[in-house]
Amino acid sequence: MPTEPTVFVVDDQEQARKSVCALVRSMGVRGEAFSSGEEFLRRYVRDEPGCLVTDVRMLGMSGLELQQKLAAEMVRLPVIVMTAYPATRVVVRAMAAGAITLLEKPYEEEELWDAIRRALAKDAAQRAGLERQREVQLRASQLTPEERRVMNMIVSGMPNKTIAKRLDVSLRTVENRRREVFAKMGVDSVAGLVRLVIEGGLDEARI
Amino acid sequence: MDSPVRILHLEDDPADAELVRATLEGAGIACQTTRVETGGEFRQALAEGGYDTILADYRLPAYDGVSALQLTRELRPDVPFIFVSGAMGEDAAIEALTGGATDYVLKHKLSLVVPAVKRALREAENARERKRAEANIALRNFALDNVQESAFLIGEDARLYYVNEGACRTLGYTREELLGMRVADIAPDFPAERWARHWNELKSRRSLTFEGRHRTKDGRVLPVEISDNYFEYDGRGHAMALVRDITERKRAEEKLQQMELQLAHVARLSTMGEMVAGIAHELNQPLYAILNYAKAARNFLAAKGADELEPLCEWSEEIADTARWAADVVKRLRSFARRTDSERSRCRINHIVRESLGLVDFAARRAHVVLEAQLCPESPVVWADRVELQQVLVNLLQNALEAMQDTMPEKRRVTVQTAVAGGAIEFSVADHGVGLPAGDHQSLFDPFVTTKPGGLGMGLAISKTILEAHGGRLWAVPNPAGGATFHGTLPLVDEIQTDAD
Repeated sequence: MPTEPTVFVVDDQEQARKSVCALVRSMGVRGEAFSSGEEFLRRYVRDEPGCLVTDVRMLGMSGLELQQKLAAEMVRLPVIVMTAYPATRVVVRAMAAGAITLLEKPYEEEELWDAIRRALAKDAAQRAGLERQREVQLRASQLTPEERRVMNMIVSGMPNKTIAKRLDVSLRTVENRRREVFAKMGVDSVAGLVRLVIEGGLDEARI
Repeated sequence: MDSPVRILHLEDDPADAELVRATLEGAGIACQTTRVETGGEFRQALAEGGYDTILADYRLPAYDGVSALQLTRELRPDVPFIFVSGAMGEDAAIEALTGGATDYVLKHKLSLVVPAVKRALREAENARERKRAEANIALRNFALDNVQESAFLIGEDARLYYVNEGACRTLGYTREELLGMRVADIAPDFPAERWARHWNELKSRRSLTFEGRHRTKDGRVLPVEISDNYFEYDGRGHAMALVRDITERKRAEEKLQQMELQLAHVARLSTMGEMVAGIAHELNQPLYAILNYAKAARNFLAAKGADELEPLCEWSEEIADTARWAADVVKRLRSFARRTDSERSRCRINHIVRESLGLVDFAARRAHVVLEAQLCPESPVVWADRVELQQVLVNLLQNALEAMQDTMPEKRRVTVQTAVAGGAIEFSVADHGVGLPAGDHQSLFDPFVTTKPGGLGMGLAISKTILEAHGGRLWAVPNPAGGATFHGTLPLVDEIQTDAD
C-alpha cells in the first residue's frame, strides 16, 4: 500500500479524466483515472490514502451515488464533486453527504488545487486520528474488566467513595485499581484520561 | 268524365229538372242531381257542399234565382252558377252575369246547357289550378324569406329584381331600396366590368361558389360566401345568388391560425434551444479537456525552469485562457438557449391536458380526427413548468394526428387519459395510426430519430428530456388494435416538493 496519497479521478469522458489527471500530476500529486464509479470501487483498496474527484452525470453510477456508496461502506476518502451544470439540488446533496467542495467545470486551476490540498489534509488528519485511536485501544486492551469498569466511572466524574459503594468493594481496592488504570493508560490526571478515552473512541464502545 | 257531375238544381218543376238531367246524360255527362225548391233547402244544401255546379231557375214560387246567386257567391264562390230559365230578359241576363253567374241557358234552347256546364266545369278546374299555383308561390316566397342566407335574383344588367327577407335583414335595407340597386351597390368588389366578366363565366360554368365582401347600409363590410347560379327562363338569363355571412367563421379561423403560428413558433424556439444546448454540451467537454491539458503543460514547463522554455510556458497559458474564453461563450449560449429560470408552479394536470387539446383542436378538425379526453376525477397537482408540459402534450397529440393520415376516417380518434397510480400521475395519448416501428421503441426518443418525412426528430427527444427533468418518464407501447400509446408519468406534488430546495 503506497503511503503517498493519490487523487482518484472518476469521469466517463476519457479526455476529461485524462486531462484532470495530467493537471493533478503537473501539481506534483499522483493521479489515477477511472471511467466509472463501478471501476473505481473494483480497484480501490480500503485505507489507500488520497481523495476522490468525481463527475456527477455519468453512465451507470452517478457521482452522488458513488459518494453515498463510500459513506455506507465507512470508507472515509474525502470527495470533490465536479459538474458542468450545478443544479441547486445536486449541490445540496453533495455537500450534505460531506463533500469537500463542488467545482463547476471549467474551474480555475487554483480552485482545484485548493480543493485537493484540503481533501488530502483532511485525509491525513483522519488517518492520524485513526492511528491514535488504534494506539489508545491497544493500551485499553491491557486493562482487566474490573479496572475497565473503574476507568469508566472515573471518566463519568464519580469520586472514589461513590465508586467503592457502587461496586461494593473497599476504598483501598478502588484506589489500587485507579493507580493501575493511570499507569496502563500512561496518564497522570483525570483530564488526561478523559481526553484519551475520547480520542480512542472508548466512550462510544461503552455505549 | 269518370265520376258523375254533382249538380244542385234549384227548380220547382220536377219535370224540368228531369229534362235537364236527361239532356246532360244524353250528351255523355253522368249526373247526380239534387233538386231543391225553397231558399231554406238551397241554403242547407250549399252549407253541406260537395257540388260541382249549381243550376238555378230564375223565378220560383218560394224563392228567386238572384238571391240564390248572391248566397252562392257568398258561401261557395268557387262553384259555377248557371241560370236555367224559361223566361229571362236581356236585362235580367246581364244583371245575372254581372252578379257573378257563370252563364245562362233558356229552357227552350235546353241543348245549350251541355256546353255551358262543360265550360263551367273547365273554368272551375282552371280556377282551382290557379289557386294551387298561387299558394305554391306564396309558400316558396315564405320559405325563401325564412332562410338564413340572403337570396338575390340578378339580371344581366346587374340589377336586383328579387331579394329575400334575409338580404334585407343582413344588409339593413328595405326591400324597395334593394330592388332599385345594382350588384356594385352592395358588393364593392363587383363594379360593372367585373360583373360583366363574372356573368360570362357564370353563364358558361352555370354555378360558382366563392368568398367575397358585402357592404351594409351603415357602411360595415361583411365577409361572405356566395353561391351563384345561372339559369335561363323565358329566353332570358338570370343569376340566383345565395349569400351567407361568414363573419363568425372567419374570426374563428383567424384565431386558430394565430394559435397555430404561436405553437409552431414555440416549438421551433424550443427545438432550436435544445439543439443549441446539446451542441454547447458537446463543445464544453473538449474545451474543458484542452484547458486542463494546457494548464498541466504550463505547470510542467514552469517546473523545468529553463529560460528557453519560457515562451512555451507562456503559450500554454494562452491556450488555457483561450479555451476558457471559448468555454464561457458556449456556457452563455447554453443558458441563453435554454430558459434557466424554468418557471415551475403547482399545476393541475387535467387543466394542462384540456389546454393542450384546445391548442390542437383546429388541426384535429381539419384532419377529421375526434379528440377524446378521459380525465381522472381527482384533479391531481404536479410541480411543473406549465408551458413545457403543454409542449410535451401538444407534441404527442400532433404526432398522433400525423400518424392517422392514412387511417379510415371513422377510426380517426385520439384518446387522452390521466390517472393517479402510486405516488405518480400517469397520462397517455392513444391513436389508431401507423403504429411504432418494429424493434426497439426506445430509440424513438433519441435526438434526430424520425419516422416522418421532413421530421427533425427532436419532438420526442425534447418531450422525454422535459419529463425526466420533472422527475417523470416517457415511453411508448403498440396498441393491440393498431396504432400506438405514449405513456408519461410525473410525480405528485408532495413528493417533488421535498426534493426541491
